[in-house]
Amino acid sequence: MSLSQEPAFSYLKDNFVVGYKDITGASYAGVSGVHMPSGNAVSTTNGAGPHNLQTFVLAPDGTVMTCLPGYWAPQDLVSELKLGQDIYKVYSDKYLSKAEKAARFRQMQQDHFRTHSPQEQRRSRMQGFDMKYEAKNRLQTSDCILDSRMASVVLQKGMKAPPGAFKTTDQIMHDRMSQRPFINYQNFDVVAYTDYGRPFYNKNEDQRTASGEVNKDLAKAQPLMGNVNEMPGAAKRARRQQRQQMAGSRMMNRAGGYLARRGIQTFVRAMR
Amino acid sequence: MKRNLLSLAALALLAIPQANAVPLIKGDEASYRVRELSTGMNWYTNLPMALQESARTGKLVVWIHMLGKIDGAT
Repeated sequence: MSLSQEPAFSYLKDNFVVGYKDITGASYAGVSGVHMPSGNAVSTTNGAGPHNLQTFVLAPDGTVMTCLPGYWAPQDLVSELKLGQDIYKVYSDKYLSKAEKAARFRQMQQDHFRTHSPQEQRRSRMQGFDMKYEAKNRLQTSDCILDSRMASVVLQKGMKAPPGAFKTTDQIMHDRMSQRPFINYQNFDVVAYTDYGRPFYNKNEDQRTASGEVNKDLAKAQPLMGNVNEMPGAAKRARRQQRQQMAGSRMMNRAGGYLARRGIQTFVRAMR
Repeated sequence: MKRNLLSLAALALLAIPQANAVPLIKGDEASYRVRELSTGMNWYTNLPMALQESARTGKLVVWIHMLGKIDGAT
């Protein structure tokens, strides 16, 4: 809904060629309730629903300047679109080497995050159910978690994450984009890039009472769209991925420790 | 005194918006905005064609992945 709101609507219309792809059925797509165009709409937080919506800014040759996962408030969306345009100036600069361009890309992504106002950071707070998902399925390996001990608080019933436990979604986005300088759209790893929070995202816009609360009975009966069949296995896959990453990390530590010990022994023997 | 305090606390709780209550845009307004969005711009559904237009005009492409259609169910 943010695309139709100002300043996003005019900025898009005046400055970009626009297009879209229906990702229903795509391997990286999540799940959502079906909303008709005549249905109600709600605002949400930046970066909410990353599996169901991605906004790319592409150069004419298809290179990704930036990508926004999920919903973004209109004013924040415009600011990120402008960043995409600024990055394109670097990309098309004939006097910079490939390495210099990549370095500037990373710097611009990080600098942009640092200019976000406290209000924008509040608008970019990760959804509570996404925090729970990250804490439950990849507490030790998630790049969305700043402090795993504090983040684990969300697993207790009725508890909210203390400030500083999780990254905000704007930080997640800029951190992840920093690692992907000037990648062609065809090679952009959408699955990894959008992988945070649970695959199911729904605000139940048409299942709300006049005061805005969700009618749970209506919500349960709502038809769904997207990768409905994949949803139950997603959490298991995330936990398995975490176990594999942690096992790999333990193996590296053991190997590192062994090599360090052997290295010292070899050094001591050589000294004798 | 204790009862008054409890009543005040209850009133204060009632005054706090529900955590899951979010600003709602009613169907008529949402429908109007969807129409404006879908007809106010030329939406490409073919990326190579959008990129071709980008090369011609010098404008970058905003390419959106979404569940559903820009003018239909999402």
